[in-house]
Amino acid sequence: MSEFDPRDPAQVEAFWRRHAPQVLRWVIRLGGPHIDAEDVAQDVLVTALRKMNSFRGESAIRTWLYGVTRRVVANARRRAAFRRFVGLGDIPEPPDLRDLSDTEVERLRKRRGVQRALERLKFGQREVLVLVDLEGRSAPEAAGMLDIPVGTVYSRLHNARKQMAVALKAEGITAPPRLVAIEGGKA
Amino acid sequence: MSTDNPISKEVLDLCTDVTEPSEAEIGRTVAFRPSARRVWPRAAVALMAAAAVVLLWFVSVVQPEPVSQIVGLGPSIEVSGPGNVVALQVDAAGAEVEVTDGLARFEVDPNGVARNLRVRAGDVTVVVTGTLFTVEVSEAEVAVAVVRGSVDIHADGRVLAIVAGESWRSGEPVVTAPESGVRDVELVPVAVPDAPTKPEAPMPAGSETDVSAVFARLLVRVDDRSDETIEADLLAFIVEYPESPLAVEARTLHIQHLSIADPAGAVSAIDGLLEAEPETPRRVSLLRMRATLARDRLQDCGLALGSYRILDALGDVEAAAWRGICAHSLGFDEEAEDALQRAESLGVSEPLLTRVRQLRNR
Repeated sequence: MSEFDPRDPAQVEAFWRRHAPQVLRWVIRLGGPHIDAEDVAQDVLVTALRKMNSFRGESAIRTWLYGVTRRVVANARRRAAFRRFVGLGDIPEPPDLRDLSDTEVERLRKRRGVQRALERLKFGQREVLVLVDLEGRSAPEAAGMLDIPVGTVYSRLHNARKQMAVALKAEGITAPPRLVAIEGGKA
Repeated sequence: MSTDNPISKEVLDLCTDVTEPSEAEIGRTVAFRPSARRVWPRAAVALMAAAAVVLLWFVSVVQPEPVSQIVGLGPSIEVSGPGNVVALQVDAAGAEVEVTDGLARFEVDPNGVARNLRVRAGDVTVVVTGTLFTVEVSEAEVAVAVVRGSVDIHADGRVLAIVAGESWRSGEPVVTAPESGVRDVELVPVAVPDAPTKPEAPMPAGSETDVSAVFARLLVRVDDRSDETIEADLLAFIVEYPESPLAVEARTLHIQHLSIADPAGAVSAIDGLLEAEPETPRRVSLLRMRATLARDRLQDCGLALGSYRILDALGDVEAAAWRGICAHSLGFDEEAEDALQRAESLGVSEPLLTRVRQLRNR
C-alpha cells in the first residue's frame, strides 16, 4: 500500500470499487437512521484516501478502514444530533419510494427498525454485535479490529445480545414465517 | 458463539439482510468520484461547516427574522431592527457598539446592572444610561431619536443632550416633537446572546472575548476531538459562561453527548435544564429529545408521555402520533384515540401514519 498514489485515477477507482460496499455496510449498521449512509460512506472513503499514506500495513487494510469508518461515523452522528437539536433537519430524505417495489419498501422499513434497535445499544456493544453476529466474524477477529481483548468482546457481546433481543421485539422485528411444503396437493 | 444467543438465527439473518446495502445504494456510492469539493483540507471543511451551523442557528432559531448582525449586549440592553450593529466592547457595566448602516433601536433597562451604552455612528457617539432610542445611519447622515429617557450626543467636539420626544440629525439642530414625529418604531425584536461578562477570563483557546466565537471554536473542536474531551470542553464552557444563552446550547450539546452512554442521566439533565431555564429557546428540542430517549432508549412510555403531551399542545403533529401510541400502550384509550385522530387528520407522515392507522383500526 505504500505505493498507493491517491492522485492516480485508476488506483482511486480500484480502491473505491473494492471497499465501498463494505464501508457502506458498516455505515448503515453503525450509523443509525439519522445519517445519510451513502454520503457518510463517501466521506469515509475520501478520508481513507487522504490518509492512505498513514496506513503502514501493520494491520489488514480492512481493519484500518474500519477504524476510519467508526471515527467518521461518530462525527456524522454527532453532527446529525446537533442538527436535530437546532432544528436544521432530522433524518435524511428517504429514497423516492415510488421507484421501489413493495418488497424493497418493506425491506427499508425493516432496516429502520433494526437501525433503531441497534441505536439502543452502547456504541461499543453495537459494533461488537455487528461484527460478530451480523457479519459473522470470530471474536478474535473482532477483537483485532477493535483493538480490545477477546474477553471484552465476549462480555460486550453477551450484554449486547440481551439488549438487542428486547429492542428487536419492541420494534416488531421477528423471524419471517417459514414456508412449509405440503405434500399431496390439497390438505 | 451462538449457543447463548437470545436472538434466533432467523432474526439475525433478517437483520443482516435488511441492513445489507442494495445494488442501487452501492452503485450510487461507487459512482461518486472525489471532486475538488471533497479534496479540500478537512480542517477547512470542518471550520466552514461549524461556521455555517452557527450562522444558520443564529438566523433560523435564535432570531425570528433574518438580521444583518448579532451582538451580545447583556440582559439590560435590547437591540432590534434591520441595521448593522457591531459590538466593539462588552463588559459587566455595559457595552459599546457601532451602527455601521441602517436603523437600529436600543432599549436600555434603567434598572439594569449593565446599563451603560455607548453607540457609535460615524463621527457621532451617543451615550445613554437607561432609555429607549433609535439610531439610523445612512451615507448622508446620522439620525438619533429618543422615545424615552435622555441621551448625550457627542459630535463635532460638542455634547448635545436630547430628551424624550426630541430628535437630531447630523449637521442640524435638535428638533422637538411633534415636528420631529419622534415615536417608538416597530421593529423586529432580536433575541441576542449575551456577550461574555468576564472578558478577561482565559478562553479555551485564543484570547477573543466574543463568546460566540468561543462557541464556534468549540463546535469545531467538538467535531475533531475524542468524546471525553468534548465533554470536558462543554463543561468548561458552561462553567465559564453560566449567564450566557450559549451556555444553554452547551448544556444541550452536553446532554446530547451524555445521552449516548447514559440516557437516564440525559433525561434527568434535561429535566434540570428545563426547570432552571423554562423559557429556553431550546425547550421544544429538549422536549423532543427527552421523549425520544424515554421512549426508545429507556423504553418508558410513561416517561415519554409527559413530553409528548406538551409538544402535542404546541402543535407538533408527530408528537400527537407518539402521544397516541404511548397512551395506547399504557391503556389510556380515550387520550390515545383523541391524539391518534388528531395526528391522522393533521397529516402525520410515514412511517408513523401506518402505525396510527393500525392502532385506530383495532
